[in-house]
Amino acid sequence: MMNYLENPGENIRKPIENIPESVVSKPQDVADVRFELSDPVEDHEQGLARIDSDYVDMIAKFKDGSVTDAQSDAIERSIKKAASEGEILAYESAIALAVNLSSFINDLIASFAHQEEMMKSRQANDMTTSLEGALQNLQNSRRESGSITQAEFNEAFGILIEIEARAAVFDQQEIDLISFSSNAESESERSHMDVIRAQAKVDLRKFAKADPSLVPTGKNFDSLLDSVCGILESQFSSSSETAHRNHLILEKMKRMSTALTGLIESVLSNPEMRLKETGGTN
Amino acid sequence: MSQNNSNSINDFVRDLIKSRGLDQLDYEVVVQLKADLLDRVENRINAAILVNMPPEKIEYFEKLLDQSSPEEAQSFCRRNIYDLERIIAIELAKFRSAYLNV
Repeated sequence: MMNYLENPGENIRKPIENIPESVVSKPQDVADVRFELSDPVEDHEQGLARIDSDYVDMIAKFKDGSVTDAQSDAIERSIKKAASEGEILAYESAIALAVNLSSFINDLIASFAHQEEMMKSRQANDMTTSLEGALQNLQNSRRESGSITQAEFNEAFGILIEIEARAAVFDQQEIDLISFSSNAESESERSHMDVIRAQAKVDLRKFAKADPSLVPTGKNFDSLLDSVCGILESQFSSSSETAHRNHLILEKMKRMSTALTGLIESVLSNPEMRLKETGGTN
Repeated sequence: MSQNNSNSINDFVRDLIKSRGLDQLDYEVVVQLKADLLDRVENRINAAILVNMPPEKIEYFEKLLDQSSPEEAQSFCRRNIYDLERIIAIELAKFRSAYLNV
């Protein structure tokens, strides 16, 4: 275990410089991010989770040159939070995880050549059909060869996370990222998409459990899904400052879901309010 | 989260799935659908809370989310959003109506 306090700047730059140039197009910018390890850790696990999330986000942004000073500062704060009595216990492994994960999603994000292209609305039916096809390929491969390839897993996973991220931002911020054949068909198309999404998660979770090498080291299927969807949602929300800020707050609200649950429950437990507004749930 | 709270939201989601006839799918898929739908409901309510939060209160609310307990965040929402329960009830009704296409 390395003690980063001996020479914080230099020691921490080493793992940063190990990020492949193919992942980060401006390594010199990464190396310029300086860390001062002084704050005590508040919650080590949470700190590491933030390193993971923030670093992957930063690497993605470095790639398109859109990282800001504020974001660099956010990374610095995350590192500080993870510091424990002068040492960052799993810093290198966190970086390795972030780099590994970034490599995994690199192609997915790179497939959107431009922000305008990424923000175009996509037909629900098209995405659902693509996902159904990818799932069918997985089942066929397993039946024929007894296993699936990383490329086959990635294809289905990539389609799934795009749907997940578009649906989440569509729901949260009413940004028009999904379109339907007609208003009359919207809910049946949405419902079918939801069923296939659920089926995809069930199937991919099983494949990843049977062969853990399909997901990056240190991740299981659900944590991978959460991480990558978070990055894509952030990208989808970056079309405006307000949308991006709202996305960050909504993510925090999601993490504090018990507060929200209490509010919803107070409505659902009020018979008058429930029957009048929600049409009844019991 | 209390058991009662969890059950009530689960009932809301379970009823939606049943009303669409999706409860006849494979058990694992239904479980996943419920989890996804629960996320969707929470996301929609979160968004409604944010939209109805006075703009000048949002920065402080964000700090609360970072530093305070769920109870404090909930209390802050109640104090600062007029007729919050009604806003949530309407959002639940809109969600139910859209989901069931009624």
